[in-house]
Amino acid sequence: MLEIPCPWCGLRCESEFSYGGEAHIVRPENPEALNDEAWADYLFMRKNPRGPHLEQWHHVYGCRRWFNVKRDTLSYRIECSYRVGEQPPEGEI
Amino acid sequence: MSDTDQAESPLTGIDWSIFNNASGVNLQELPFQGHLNLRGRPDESRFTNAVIEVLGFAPPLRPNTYKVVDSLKMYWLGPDEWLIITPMERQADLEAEFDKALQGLFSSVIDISSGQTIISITGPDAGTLIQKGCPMDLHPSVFRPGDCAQTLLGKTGVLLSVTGDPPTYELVVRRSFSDYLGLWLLDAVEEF
Repeated sequence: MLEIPCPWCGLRCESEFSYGGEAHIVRPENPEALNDEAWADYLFMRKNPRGPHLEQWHHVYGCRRWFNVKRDTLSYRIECSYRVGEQPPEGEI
Repeated sequence: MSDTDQAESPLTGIDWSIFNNASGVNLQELPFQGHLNLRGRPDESRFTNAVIEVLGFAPPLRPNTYKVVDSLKMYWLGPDEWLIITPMERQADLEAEFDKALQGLFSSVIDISSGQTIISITGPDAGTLIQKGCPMDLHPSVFRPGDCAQTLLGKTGVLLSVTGDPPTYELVVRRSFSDYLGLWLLDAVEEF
């Protein structure tokens, strides 16, 4: 069981959360101008890294806010969490 | 008035008295309260002023805390969301006053009184009972009077709050889950 740091509520147990996939995926401004390949890239293609991963979580049984977490997919260690709209601490996406 | 005209609480089918007499836990439903869900932006002073104008006090801004003033209880639910528990006779007036005070503001006030109910749990073993089905640490050094939390109890989401010494707890639960939670509590309380 993971303990996930909600930026509002603090450390809470994983069962209170739901997972929302990779973070910082920006919807293209003009979807109609994209070709199929670029649209599919936006819709389906994910980094799936082995190591640090920026991902979205939803505190669904708590304060019901979405936020971002930096988690290592290998060790499951959570480095930090930050609010939607904020950049990860090192400013990298 | 015939029986069918009488209000019936969500937990009317649960007989708490089975365990209340002898055990170290006392369970009780607090039915027929007014529940108002309030949303707005606390960084807008017009919003907080409107709340003060209607309730007489500012909304709690520290996450997972609540305020009690007279017969009103106001829970922090999120950075822009609160729950106000009021006696039923004040609920309609409060809602109307909010409607007026919040006009033109990006906000909402919604009556959810019939959508949820409250269970009060007192007694020396109250904390141990809740801890059986709740993943949060409820030790009195961590979860203190004035604190509330939305979390899980058994398989349902609840809004949990604590007062006093020894700690007594209140659970706000959705009506549709209240029967499940009531039966879960009756089963869990058997050992105390």
